[in-house]
Amino acid sequence: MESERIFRLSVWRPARLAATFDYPADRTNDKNFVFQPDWLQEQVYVWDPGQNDIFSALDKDLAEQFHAKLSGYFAPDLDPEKRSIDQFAKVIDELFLTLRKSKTNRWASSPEKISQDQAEDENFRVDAPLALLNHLLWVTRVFAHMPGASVTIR
Amino acid sequence: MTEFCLQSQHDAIRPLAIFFAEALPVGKSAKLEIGEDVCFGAAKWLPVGKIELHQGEKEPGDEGEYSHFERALKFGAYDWKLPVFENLLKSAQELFPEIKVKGSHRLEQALEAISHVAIRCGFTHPVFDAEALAGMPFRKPTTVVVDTTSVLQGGLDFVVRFLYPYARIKIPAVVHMEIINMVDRYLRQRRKGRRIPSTLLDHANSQGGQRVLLRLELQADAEIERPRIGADPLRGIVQPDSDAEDKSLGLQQIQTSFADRLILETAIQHRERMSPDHPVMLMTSDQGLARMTLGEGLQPLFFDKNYSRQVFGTVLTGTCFYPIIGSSRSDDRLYQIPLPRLLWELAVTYGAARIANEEYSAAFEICALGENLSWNPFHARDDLLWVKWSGFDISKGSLTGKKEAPQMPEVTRKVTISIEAAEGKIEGKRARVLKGSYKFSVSSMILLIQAFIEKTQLKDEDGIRTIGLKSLDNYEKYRNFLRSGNFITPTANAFTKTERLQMLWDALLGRDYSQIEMSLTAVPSFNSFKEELRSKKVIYAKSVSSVSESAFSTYCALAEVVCIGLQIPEEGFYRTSSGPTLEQFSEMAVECYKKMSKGEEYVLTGQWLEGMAKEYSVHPVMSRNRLNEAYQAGYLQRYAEGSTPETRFERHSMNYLNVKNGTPMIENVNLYHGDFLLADRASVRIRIIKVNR
Repeated sequence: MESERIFRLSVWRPARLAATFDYPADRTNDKNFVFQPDWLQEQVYVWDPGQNDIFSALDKDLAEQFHAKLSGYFAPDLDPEKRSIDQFAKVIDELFLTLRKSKTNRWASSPEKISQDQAEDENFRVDAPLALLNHLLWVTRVFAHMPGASVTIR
Repeated sequence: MTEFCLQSQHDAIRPLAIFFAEALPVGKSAKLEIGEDVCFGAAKWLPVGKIELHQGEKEPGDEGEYSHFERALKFGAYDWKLPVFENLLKSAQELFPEIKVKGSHRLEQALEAISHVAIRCGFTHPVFDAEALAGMPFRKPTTVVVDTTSVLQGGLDFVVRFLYPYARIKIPAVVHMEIINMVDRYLRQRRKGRRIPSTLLDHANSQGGQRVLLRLELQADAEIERPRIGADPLRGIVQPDSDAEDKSLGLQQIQTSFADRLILETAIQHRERMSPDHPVMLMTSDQGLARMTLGEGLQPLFFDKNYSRQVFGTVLTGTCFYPIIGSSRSDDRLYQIPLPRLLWELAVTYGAARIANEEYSAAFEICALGENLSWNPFHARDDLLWVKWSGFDISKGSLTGKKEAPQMPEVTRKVTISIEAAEGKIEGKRARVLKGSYKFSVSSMILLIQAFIEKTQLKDEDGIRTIGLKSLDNYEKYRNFLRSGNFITPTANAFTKTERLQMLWDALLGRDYSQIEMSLTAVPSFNSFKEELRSKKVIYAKSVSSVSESAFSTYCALAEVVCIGLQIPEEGFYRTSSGPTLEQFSEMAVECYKKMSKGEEYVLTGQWLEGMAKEYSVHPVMSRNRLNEAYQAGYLQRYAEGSTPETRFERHSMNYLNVKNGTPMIENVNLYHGDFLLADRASVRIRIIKVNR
């Protein structure tokens, strides 16, 4: 269960190398290995929700759907083309539609505390799935037209 | 309240809470509308969405009937559902029946300012250039010079909220002047009563822009770069000047392109004054200015205003995730937008805003500009706007609301009667039942008690200053705790100490734990907490019923100070009210040591102290004192061994009352460091042997 709660979003783009890079051939046992600097990806944005469990406010089916679409479609072992920012934008739109149809009250107490000043110490109440999707929508807008941009969710 | 009165955002929380609780059926949304007396006409409103409050349930320590509503409003537990832009435009066009095609572009621009309000409040963010976002958060101090579009469209608010303090903010003088020009233009049109969309646009831009600048100066902690040497370039040109050359060039009239150039010149000149490696960026949503900036070798911090309309038709939420991590305290991910912040921003931008129920039988209205409504600088300083409401009664919000008449413990009833008597004469307010639990810092509470002891009487503002708080709201938690125990009593414009407070102070000075405990038992919430601890032996933050979860840590600290409990991290709060005789203690001490040693010669001191608390309900202070007494009386032998304390036990500390220079103070004592058990010795490990007598 613990591993399911980890959510870390990264946006990547093809690395822009300032110099030519190489990899010593004798450092790998694979004789057919050819180092391709063009394949290198550069992380341009990283984000995580901290201690907030973004799926816990959803009912079981919806939580699985969110998990499958976000973590499954954007797993780091997929090719960058398959987890492009366009694909990400489509998934976010789909999830928005799903969320809109859901009737569950998703507002719940967060483990995160509000620190207004030294004496204030209340916990946040948050609709974590909606706050997450609003945030991800903004991310897709910012990186929408970046050439070769891709997304991973761990 | 059918007449306008001045209120701050904080003041508005209470009537709004009662509006949501009393005027809206459960599960229903409130209508959010804006008004503009010249363009829309008096008493005409444009719907700009619906607000659904998610107040949750009352918490055990909530003392007011509407506390959970107040909390939701204050901490952003609500949704704002915005209308689709086409529907909004249609509704607005109905308010301008004479506008057909001509002028609708201005109307669209004026309505887009609603999305700018959303960005300025923090519901959503400017859509930055991808490259610019990749560089956030800034890793080194960077000056951001903003243009007028950044002020109006929320770019500046984003910088203040998420990039400050690494971002140093510079607002060129010409930005202020452009906004002043908009204000002049708007007021001219207003005086002429020109009911056209461009008046509405100028209203939104001029008043909204001025609000951003005033908010930044008066309410935000951010500091604006205003170097005395080398003022903004060309500042003199836009000031009245008889220079013939300026006149012939027409420089006294601000041209759009000229203003852009002035902003860029400000950035260039700022860069020249800084060290060569200090980055200077120019923030704008104007493509022309961004291109000119690039052309001059400066970095633009560009955001695309064309996304503004995409906010319409979406649901925004009052509690949001930080868009960039690493910019605030490392664990912070959420921030909240109090509902009054949105209402205030809309009211200033368009002139008026209101929140109403479906039938309009109840409404809360906020007005920033209107006939017979004055403005003074103190309104801006305290962010005061004119408000009125109808259809609900805020006297119902009295904490002794008729709906619930809880049975109080005898001590509470007595306190209430005396407060009621005092308030009835002095404040004319209804009595308050102080049955809540309060979250505060125990160290600060001692400072406040000391101030009451020294001055006898204390006004709220003096109390706030004494303990260094920012708001009355937080100070009330301290004050109400003292009031609920009858330690202070209200008098004219202040609170006065009672004899009971003097007794508490004397007990604190003498470190008389049982007397302090007895004094605190007069506080109903502390008494309930003590009773719960007595009945359960161990209590947990998640399941505590006598006090609210948020106040749990405060009551644990108080209980630790009076030696009736001990917090063990990751376990719970244990009762430690046992007072064994020397003989009983010696048996317990050796037994506990043997259980822990498991064949080892020495055990960790902290482990033994916590074991005594968990297994035998003996507080560490009692364990320390009894251990020394038992040693001196020859019941047992104790040996200590010093070593470096293990860092994994750093959180295993206890609130401990000490008195230094005649002042009581709370120390945080780590039980595993060993110097608590044997003073001046780092007895990290201990060995205890029973002596056969």
